[in-house]
Amino acid sequence: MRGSLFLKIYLTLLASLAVVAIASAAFVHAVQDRDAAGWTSRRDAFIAAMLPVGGDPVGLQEAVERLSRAFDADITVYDPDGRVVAMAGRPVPARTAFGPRQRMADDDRPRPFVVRLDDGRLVAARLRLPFGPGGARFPFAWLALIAAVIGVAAYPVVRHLTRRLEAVRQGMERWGEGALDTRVPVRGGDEVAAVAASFNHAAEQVERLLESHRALLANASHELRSPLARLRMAVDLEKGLKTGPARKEIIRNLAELDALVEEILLASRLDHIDRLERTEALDLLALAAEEGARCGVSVDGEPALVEGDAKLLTRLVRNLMQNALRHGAPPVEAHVGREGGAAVLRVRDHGPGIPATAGDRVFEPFYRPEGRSETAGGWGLGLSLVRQIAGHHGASVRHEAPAGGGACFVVVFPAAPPGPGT
Amino acid sequence: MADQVLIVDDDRRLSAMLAQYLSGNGFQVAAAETATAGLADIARGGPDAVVLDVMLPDMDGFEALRRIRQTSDVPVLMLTARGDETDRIVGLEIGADDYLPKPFNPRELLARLKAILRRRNGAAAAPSPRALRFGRLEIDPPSRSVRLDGQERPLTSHQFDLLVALAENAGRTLSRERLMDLVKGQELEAFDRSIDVHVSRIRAAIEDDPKHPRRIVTVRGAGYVFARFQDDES
Repeated sequence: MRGSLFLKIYLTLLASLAVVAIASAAFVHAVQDRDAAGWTSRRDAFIAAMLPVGGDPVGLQEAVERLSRAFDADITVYDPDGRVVAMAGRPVPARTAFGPRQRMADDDRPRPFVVRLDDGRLVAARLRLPFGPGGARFPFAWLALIAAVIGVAAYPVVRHLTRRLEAVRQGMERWGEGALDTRVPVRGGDEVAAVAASFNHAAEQVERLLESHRALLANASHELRSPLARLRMAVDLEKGLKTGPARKEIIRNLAELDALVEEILLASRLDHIDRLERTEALDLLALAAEEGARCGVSVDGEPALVEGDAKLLTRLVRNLMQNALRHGAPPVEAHVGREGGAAVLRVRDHGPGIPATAGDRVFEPFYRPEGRSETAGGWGLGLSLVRQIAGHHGASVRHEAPAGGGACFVVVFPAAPPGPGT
Repeated sequence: MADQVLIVDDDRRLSAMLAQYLSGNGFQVAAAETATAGLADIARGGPDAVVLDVMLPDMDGFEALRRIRQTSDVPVLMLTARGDETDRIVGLEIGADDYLPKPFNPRELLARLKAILRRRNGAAAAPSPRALRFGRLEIDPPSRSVRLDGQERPLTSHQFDLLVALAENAGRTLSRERLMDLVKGQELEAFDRSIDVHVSRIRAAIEDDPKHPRRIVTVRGAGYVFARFQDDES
């Protein structure tokens, strides 16, 4: 697949060479035959005109010798009965097997030919040089040579071109996979270089945009926290707010805002890192049980080791549980098991479930199911963070509709490397 | 005489409110807006405790703490941003006595401040380097004592061993059999059937709400887990 462009270009080139070669050969062939026929008839007429008519042997011999000298040829003249009547140079036999078609085969050699005159005499002659234009010699071989030269010469050119395209393609692929600092080499001034330069320019723009976006997020998170901290402080200092539902509502909203800020910060941090800094072998069951105790979710299963960042995985489990509690309905159950070496976490609720049309969109930030009211709210960043964290652990996450209703989120971790101890 | 607290935070408005709150609760409060000013104050031997913000205009809070620790062992409570890598803040690596993410509940700050001061003032209760710490809970094997918020919680010897076995394996599911193996290494007395009873006694001593335990969690059909992250540390 990689070389398909190369093959296409190269084979097209070779194919067009073949077509040109065949067409040229056919053309040359036809033209030469026509030319040859023209020359032959003129030659015959010329000879007939040059030789005296009648039975003057001396005049005939002189004419033959003149012709022989002028054209550097062996000439023998036979009478209609086959007797030699005049001769110059070496004798030439009256019968030759050579027809015009044979000229391709030995065009270089002196070729005898026979001309029958009107009075029945035969003139056999052998020219040292061709009579008439030689035309292209060996046109097939010649064309084959040209084709071979072009074919060989084109190979590195085409290869070079496709190599450069391939390099650009690979660069774009790496970039698309998230290595945003990838740039492709720009060499020369042709279209490929222009494409590479355009790509580099676009990549730079996108990278800069993303970078400023991240910086904005990080700063916003910090800047948002300061007023939150002051607000939280002020609530406790304000005597009028010592008790009552208003105070509770303020504190709850502050906590929600704080959690949202934290999630945005975490999401932007996860976007920023390529791989986790600190990982260790973790007991997924213990982690889920710990979080289950916090959220009020019952957990069962068997211990299963995963390699990961404890805090991030705790966050993953918590988000799944809180999502189930918030958007599903109790009882919420979590199960940890091993399936074919892989640790699998399932968090299931008994709510209305997730419509099949929602698909993977539930993992998008601030996903809001259709027809959901403003106060019911979207799903925030919870599940989007779950997917991000799972991705950083090489795990996959999906949701299922279990028999009996509700929704079940399934996280499948890659098989843990065998670690020392348990 | 009232304990003196130094607040090092460039958020002047927050500092002012915090100062007001702490003075109302019997502390003498000084404030510094930069790490440099705070360090100078500490060098003069001023405060009994320091509340140190992690984001300061002239210096990273961790760097400020490192410099404080070069000359002083004054108790330091760090104010961090939630979601920061917090577990290395506390303990020997950097030397903060406690930390609290912003925005914080002022009453919680007050409680933690009092706890670290109590720890420093009572020489006997000074945390051993071998103490296991989980948020507000401190398990000190050499002195065989357990403290929550710096206050001693009574446990029998068996229960203490069981708690240490659990805590040393925090974050791991321990079956009852495994727990018995771990404890039998030190104690010959059989735990077997009574292990659940002992766990519930320990819970009564160290859980905030023993009915909804968060430190020692039961995993149905598998055993017990001692929580790694307690008091919303994570």
